[in-house]
Amino acid sequence: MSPVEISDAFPTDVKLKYIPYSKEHTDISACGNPVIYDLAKELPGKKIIITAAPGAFTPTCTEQHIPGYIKDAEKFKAKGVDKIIVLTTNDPFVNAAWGKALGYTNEENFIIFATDPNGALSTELGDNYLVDLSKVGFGLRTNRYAAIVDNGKVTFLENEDEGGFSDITKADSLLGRL
Amino acid sequence: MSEIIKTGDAWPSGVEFKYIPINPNDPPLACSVPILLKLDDQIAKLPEGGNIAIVSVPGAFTPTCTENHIPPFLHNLAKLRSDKKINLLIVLSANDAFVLNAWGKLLLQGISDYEGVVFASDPNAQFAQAHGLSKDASAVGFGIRTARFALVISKDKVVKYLGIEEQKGVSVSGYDAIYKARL
Repeated sequence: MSPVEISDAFPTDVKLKYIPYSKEHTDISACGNPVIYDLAKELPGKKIIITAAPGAFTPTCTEQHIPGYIKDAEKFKAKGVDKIIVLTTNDPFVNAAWGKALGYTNEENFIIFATDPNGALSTELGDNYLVDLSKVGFGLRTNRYAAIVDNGKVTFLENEDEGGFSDITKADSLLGRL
Repeated sequence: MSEIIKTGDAWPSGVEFKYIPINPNDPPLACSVPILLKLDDQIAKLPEGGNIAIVSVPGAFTPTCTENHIPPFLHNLAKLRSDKKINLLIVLSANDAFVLNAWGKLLLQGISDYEGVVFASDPNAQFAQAHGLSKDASAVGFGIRTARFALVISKDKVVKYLGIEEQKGVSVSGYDAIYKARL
C-alpha cells in the first residue's frame, strides 16, 4: 500500500468511534455510548485536524501533547478549523474518560477523543503510523502524528520519530501551518 | 502454552502483571512508570491462610465495570480482609497500566482504606489467553481482552474459586459471589 501524501485524498473507509461529551456524563466515571465518526461524510467541505497519540493517560500525551490543542481550541477555530480529532487505538470509553480528565468538557465537541479501531486508519497512512508495542504489553498503537485535512485533501501529514514529541505535532506549530 | 484453569487447580507459577501504585489523592493525570507485579512473590508474602483475589474486567471505564462490577469490592475491602482473608485484591484488565492507574484513582476516590488493592494490566491479555480467560473483541475494535471473571488463589497456590461470566452482566464474578464462596 502506498503511503498517503500531500494533496492526496485522506482515507475515509475506516469508521472512527467516539463518545460525545454531554453534561449528563460530566463525571469521569459516567459514560455515554460510542457513536461512529464517518470520515466519508464529515470531511467534505470542512477543515479537520487529526492528532494521534500512542495512548490515553500516558505521560507525554497527557502532559505535553494534547493539552496544547485544548488550550488553543479557539485559535484553531479562528483559523477556520471545524473539528480537532484526538486519535488513539484505546477504546472509546478510555478516550472519553481521558478527554474529561484533561479538562475538555464542552458540549460543542469541537475536540473529539476518537478511536482508530485496531489502528486500521493509521495503517493506511504509511509506514510506522501504526506501531506494534506488544513487546511492552501495549499492543498496536498509533504513532504520534498530525494531519490537516482540508475538504477531504491532505494539506499536512507528518509522523513523529518513534513516538517522540516535537514541532510536528505541537499545537502551536500546527496553528502556524494553517 | 495454553492451559485452562479450573477451580481446584494448582495456580501456575511465573504469572506477572504490570501496575502503577495508586494514590487516590494524586490528580487523575499524574502517572509514573509501571512496575511488575509478580504473583509468586505476592503469594509468598501472604500470611498463613491468606488469599489473593483477582477480579478481571474487559475494559476500564466501560459502563458495567465502572458502575456495577468493581465498586462493591472496593467498598467492602475490610470485610474481604476479615471474613474471607483476602489480603490482596487485583483488579485486572488488558488495558495498559496508565489507563488502569487513572481508572483506579477514580474508583478509589472517597475510599480511605485502600490498602491491598492493585489495578493491574495483563499485557496483551497474555495470562488470560494462556488460560482460557480471554475474549476476542477485535470485531468492535477492542482487541483481545480479559474476560469478566473473578478468581481466588490461596497461600498454598490453589485456585479456590473461579467464576467466569458467560453472559453480559455481573453474577459469578461479583462481590456477593466471592463473599459467599467457600474459600
